Amino acid sequence: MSKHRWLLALLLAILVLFVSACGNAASTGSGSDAPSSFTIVYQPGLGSVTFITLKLQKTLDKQFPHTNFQWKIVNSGSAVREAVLSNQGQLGSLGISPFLVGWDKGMDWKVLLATSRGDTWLVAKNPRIKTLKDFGPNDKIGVVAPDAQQAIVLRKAAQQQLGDAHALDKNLVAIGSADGEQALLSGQLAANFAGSPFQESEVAAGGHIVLHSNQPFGPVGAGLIVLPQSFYNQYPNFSKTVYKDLLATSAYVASHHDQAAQYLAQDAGSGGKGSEAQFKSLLDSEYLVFDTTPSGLMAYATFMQSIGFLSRVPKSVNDLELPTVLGTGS
Amino acid sequence: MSLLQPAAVKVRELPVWLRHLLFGIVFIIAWQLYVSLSGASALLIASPIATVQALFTDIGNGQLISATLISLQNLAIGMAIGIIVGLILASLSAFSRFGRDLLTLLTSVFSPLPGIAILPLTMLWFGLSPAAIIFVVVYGSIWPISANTETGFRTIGATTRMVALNLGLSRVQTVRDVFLPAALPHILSGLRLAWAFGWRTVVGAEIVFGVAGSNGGLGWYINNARYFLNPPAIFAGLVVISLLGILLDTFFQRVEQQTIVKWGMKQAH
Repeated sequence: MSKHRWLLALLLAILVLFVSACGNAASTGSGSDAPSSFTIVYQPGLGSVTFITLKLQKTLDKQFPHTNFQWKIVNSGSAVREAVLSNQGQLGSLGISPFLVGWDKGMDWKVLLATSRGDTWLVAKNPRIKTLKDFGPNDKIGVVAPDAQQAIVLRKAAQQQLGDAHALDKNLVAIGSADGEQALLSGQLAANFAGSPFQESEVAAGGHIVLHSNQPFGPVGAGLIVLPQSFYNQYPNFSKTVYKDLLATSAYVASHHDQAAQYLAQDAGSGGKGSEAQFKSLLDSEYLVFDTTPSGLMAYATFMQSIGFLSRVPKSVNDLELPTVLGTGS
Repeated sequence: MSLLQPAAVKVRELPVWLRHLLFGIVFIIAWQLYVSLSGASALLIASPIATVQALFTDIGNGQLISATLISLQNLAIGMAIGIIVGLILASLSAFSRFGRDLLTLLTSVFSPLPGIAILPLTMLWFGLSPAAIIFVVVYGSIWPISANTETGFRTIGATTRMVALNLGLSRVQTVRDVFLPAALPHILSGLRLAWAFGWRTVVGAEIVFGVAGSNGGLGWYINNARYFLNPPAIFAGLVVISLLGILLDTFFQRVEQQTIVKWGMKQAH
């Protein structure tokens, strides 16, 4: 009798596991024109100005009153990837490299459009560190994630300047942009490779620039906005409308720096602190280009595969892009 | 009923290790079936087969082995320092009222704080170096060791104490040759607790640390696998952590068997 019960309990447990797994395939809507909820996941920093403007202008809420729009801020492209992977987010804003790592592992997401590209600085505080050669084994370099776009740019620069792409791998520390700034200023990090507005306040506090991100690969590599292919196929009209809205918002931000700076100063997604005037001067920088066409995809993919971060290279950019930007960006 | 009974009796009479092994096999089969049949994304949960593949890959390229050695090294150094400090505190407490007050006060204030909670502080004090992790392990080991050793000292019978006094032993000799062996059951259980806390703290601290490369232990290995979207490697890391836990626990069991069980101070399992 006890043997029966033991077997029954085991079968029941396995049955429960299967039933719960079946429940996971829930969809975000009933196949109508717009999903019931739509979450946008982005990272803190100047690059989120398009999203912040879109959010504060409430464009999407007016166009799709029945859809619940949510806006989430996470610390790195890897975190964006996890949000999309676990269906906690649909639209993600991240760098080229975390997008490619996800694509390489079989995620079905593709590029909807790009945001902007600029000049990200590797900032050090110790005057001893002037170039990549000056980093000793105990000098820590802060990046938001080991596969972040800045980290890949660093490896490309290491390959060019030191002969080995992995020369500085042991120096990398994964740390969020805001925490990295604090760690640099308190001396725990030898250098931080984050982005605006963190890099400007680091330099203002006594740091100096060791590397410009627009040099190793050239002035390419705009941040990407990605969407799962399956979502695009399910809601094509909705996705195209979001695409057009983002295009329009990007054009608006590019020509209305004052208003955009105002939005940035209001929202935590800009990186926390900063006055309107400070954001306006950042937006006015000649290096910040609101380029909605992706660029540098194949260059990054080829490089990442050569240093072992990707198992394959896409045959062409068409493998990576949605119909909205198909064929662009190699 | 009569057909089933012989089978039921047989299962109960199998040796312990075989019963555990059967449970383990059933669990692994259920895990593999779940992953294969439920349609959950391979990027969210890895199957046993993928985990074993990741184990072989990363043992082959040395990553997993060096990560394991680094974690064990951090743990060993931390525990060694923790044992020394813990024993000193307990000895002080056994011999003086000030020592006893000190130990009681320190234990009640610091023992409830998990090691991970003071990691941000140690990162400020020691920077992003192994010293921060080792300090946290030391901190986690001191309280169970000193508390258990102190209890062990207190439960030594009056007869033993009086014999030590009669023999005219110095304080150091008394502690070393009489008290420590007599308190061994409690000391060993203190060590087991310290190792358990220490192991969990080391892995957790390494994850929080986020340092790539040189200073990476098993916690870093798991965190790195997460960044590169490699769930089989995460599972492989978890398997190694768990296996090491079982191994070290078995080691302590052996030590106990060779000492206090043999001397009749503790019942065998």
